[in-house]
Amino acid sequence: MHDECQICTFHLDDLLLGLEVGRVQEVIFCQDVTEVPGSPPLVSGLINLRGEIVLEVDLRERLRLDAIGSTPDPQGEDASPKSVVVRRGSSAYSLKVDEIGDVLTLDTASIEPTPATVAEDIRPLLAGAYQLPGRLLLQLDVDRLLDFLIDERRAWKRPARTHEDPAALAS
Amino acid sequence: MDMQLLDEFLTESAEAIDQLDLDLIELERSSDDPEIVSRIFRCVHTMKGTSGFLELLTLGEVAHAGENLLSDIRDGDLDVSTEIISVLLELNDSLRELVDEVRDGQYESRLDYSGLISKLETLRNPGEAAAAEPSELQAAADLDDLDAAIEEQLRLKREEAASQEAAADPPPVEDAEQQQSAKPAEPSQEATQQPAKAEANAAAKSNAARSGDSTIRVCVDLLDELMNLVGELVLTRNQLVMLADQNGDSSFITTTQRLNVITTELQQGLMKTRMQPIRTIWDKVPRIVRDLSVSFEKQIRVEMDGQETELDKTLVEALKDPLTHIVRNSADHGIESPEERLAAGKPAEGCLSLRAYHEGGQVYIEIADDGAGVNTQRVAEKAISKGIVTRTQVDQMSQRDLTQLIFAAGFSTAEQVTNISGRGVGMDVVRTSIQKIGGTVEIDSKQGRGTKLTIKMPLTLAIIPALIVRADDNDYAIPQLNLVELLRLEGEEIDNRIDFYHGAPVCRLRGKLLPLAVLGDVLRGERSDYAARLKTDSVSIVVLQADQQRFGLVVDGVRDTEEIVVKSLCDQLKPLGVYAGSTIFGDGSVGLILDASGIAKSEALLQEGGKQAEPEQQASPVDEDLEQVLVVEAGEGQRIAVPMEHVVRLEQIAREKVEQCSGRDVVQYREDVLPLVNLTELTSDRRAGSLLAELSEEPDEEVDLPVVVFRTDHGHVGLVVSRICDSTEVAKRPLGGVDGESAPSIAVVDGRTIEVVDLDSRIGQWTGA
Repeated sequence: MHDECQICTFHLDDLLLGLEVGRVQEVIFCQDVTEVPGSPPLVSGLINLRGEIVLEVDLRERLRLDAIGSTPDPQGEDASPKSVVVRRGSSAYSLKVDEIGDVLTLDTASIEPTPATVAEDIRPLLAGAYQLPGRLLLQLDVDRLLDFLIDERRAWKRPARTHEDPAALAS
Repeated sequence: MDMQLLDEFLTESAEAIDQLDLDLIELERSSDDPEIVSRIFRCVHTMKGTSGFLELLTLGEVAHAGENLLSDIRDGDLDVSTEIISVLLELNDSLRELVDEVRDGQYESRLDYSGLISKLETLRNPGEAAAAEPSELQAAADLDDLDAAIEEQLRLKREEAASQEAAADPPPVEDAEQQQSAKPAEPSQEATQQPAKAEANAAAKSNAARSGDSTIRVCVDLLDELMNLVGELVLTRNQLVMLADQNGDSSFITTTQRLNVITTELQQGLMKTRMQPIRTIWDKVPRIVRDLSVSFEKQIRVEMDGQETELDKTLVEALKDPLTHIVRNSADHGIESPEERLAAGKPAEGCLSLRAYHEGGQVYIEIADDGAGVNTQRVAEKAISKGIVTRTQVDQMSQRDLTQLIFAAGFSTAEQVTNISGRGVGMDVVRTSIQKIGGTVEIDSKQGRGTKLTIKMPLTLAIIPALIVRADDNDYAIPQLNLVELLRLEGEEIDNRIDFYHGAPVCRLRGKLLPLAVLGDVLRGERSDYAARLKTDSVSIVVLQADQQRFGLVVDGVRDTEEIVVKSLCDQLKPLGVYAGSTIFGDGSVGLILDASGIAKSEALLQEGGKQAEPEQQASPVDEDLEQVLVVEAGEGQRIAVPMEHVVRLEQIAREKVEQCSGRDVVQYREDVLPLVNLTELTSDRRAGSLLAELSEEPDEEVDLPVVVFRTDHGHVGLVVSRICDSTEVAKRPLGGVDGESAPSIAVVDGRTIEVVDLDSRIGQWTGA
């Protein structure tokens, strides 16, 4: 007998990602997002989830998918944005994804550890991978995924700010 | 043990102990008031009885020793002295300590109170020592009776219990009275024994009984939960009201309005349940002050006004420590010793006054003393030596700004570290903790006259009025507490009033320079392209106050005011520092609540990064030079400017009212005689003839004289001018090429150079001439 687990899958760019079903509270569609100026790009904003204010995380930024040359899924552009709401402690977080996939029942023993060649800062966010026919399913570690704190306000200065022209300011 | 009974005992004892503190201090003031003595006695006696019943032996023992001493005082065998009060206060502290221990589950302390008990014993008259023995025995017997009595009480058979007891063990008269006091619901018997007090006691007891019936204790958690629910209701109401406004038939609108009213009432009602009078924390003040005045040999009187002012329970609790700190500071550093006070021409007794009141939906708490005030000189030296500011900065700072330095982190002026205050954690901690609960604190001090601290607090934290502003297509809420005013500049005004101070934009506002920041850019932590931002048809500026600092936020628009429900910000966003929380607006969208002091701080950071001085320092030198003046015209079209601060009123005086008196022109003005000075005389140093004579040459008799009424050191003076032109702000500077003191101040107004006249000295010269 093998232990089985259920994984809620979703698509982001050309990746297939998954979370344990138990951690997923719900899937939501198209919410008005309030931008939080000054926050890093991985924070897409705040949404009103039936009276609860929930932080929405841009999973693409969080996993730095642009850095690994992942190409945005052409379908994802037209489709309305979807989010997977997960809960950690007393607060809920929403993870922005392209498309929601199926819930798969998988054998826990078949999970493969994340190879050491994955970028060091991303590696802890991945719990491992399942080999599905034709593609890989990457399982995320929810807690570590949400384990970011905005320590330094000015840590994400955009390049535009670093070289200022004093003459322009003097007006 | 009966836990419920124990809980009740703990709650009641805690209240009784707080009351004891107050009563003891009251007793010290009016040492012969039998009413107070017996109140204290009853209180200690009850505690002794109940603790015996609950088998809290140490507590019973300590209370018993106190009771003996109190009984001597009550019987007039002992006079109240400071020493006795001190020991009784110590007793009260021990009782509190013991009760706290029982509450914490440690139960019956390992602490040793024999020292206190023997102190209490020795204070009793030695002559009474022999008598003490039997009275102790009595008291012990008394204790057993009490147990029975209390049990009876619990069964609500008070009368029966009393009569049984009376029958079983007829106590001596004194003990009977003690018994009475232990059983609070026996007005009739008490009346027979103490007819004089009967009425008052009966009234007090029936009051107590009534409040016992009509009030219940509710767990704060339940109230918190209800408050959350009401918060949700308010949000839903807001959304519904907005929907109804957009598309509703009349019956929907009517129902919504009804819901609106009910929600508001519910919200207010629930808020009231959480309200506590500020008295709950103020009651501790007399005790603190009393202890301090004894240990420093100072005489301090405490005055309180507005004890019943209410605010949210959580706020009351959060205010406790800062308030204690401020009071200690005032008593320790503020109020001088009696000798110093007498030498300074003040009464030996210092006064610490506490005042609380509601204004504009906020609570104001003032703590004022008539002590020495803040010594700004010393503050400045200290701040420099601690590296908080530089000497150059100090030179540019106003007295007011120097006073504010005591709020700087790591600042403490006490030359000696006393055991009371001066541990270097001073006022910055006070300010931080008040800010944490959404309040602000300001200090106002006059050297030699005293210091006043004003704390401004919201009534409640859960639902606050806020202004909704727009920046970069997002709406933000600014708590009304931080809001000073709204400015809107249009067209030319933008160029005229907004200037750049080494790249930082400032707005001229009534003679002061207001540092500006563009909201959207501040939030993103970006440097603004002000030139582009300000090149619009109109600029909306929200003037905010945070940490004694005023600044203007340039916003894209001001939407409305709204009651918002404050929701905490998720942890990941807290370090951003510019948001105080989040909320849900009427349209259902999430909004961020701005943190004014956080924004002020982050702006300062930005500017330091840009190698610029902080806005306050850069603004102050200019501040002082910019002066509000009144431009008036003298006889021959000559214009002069006079400082606005001396101007009391502008008047038109009919010239037939001008009279002559001992060679001077005067006019009867507001039941007084106002001397008139002709401006032409004043500026030309020529003593012209009488104004009357001059006036009579004028053919037109109906002319009213424009008169500017000034306040000078010599009283009010009316300045007769030809015309009052304008009031404006000028940057005055001394005229070069003329030496020092006699150099006239000049300013350029509308392209004309005019003199800014120092009226005080001029009029002084003129009247002296």
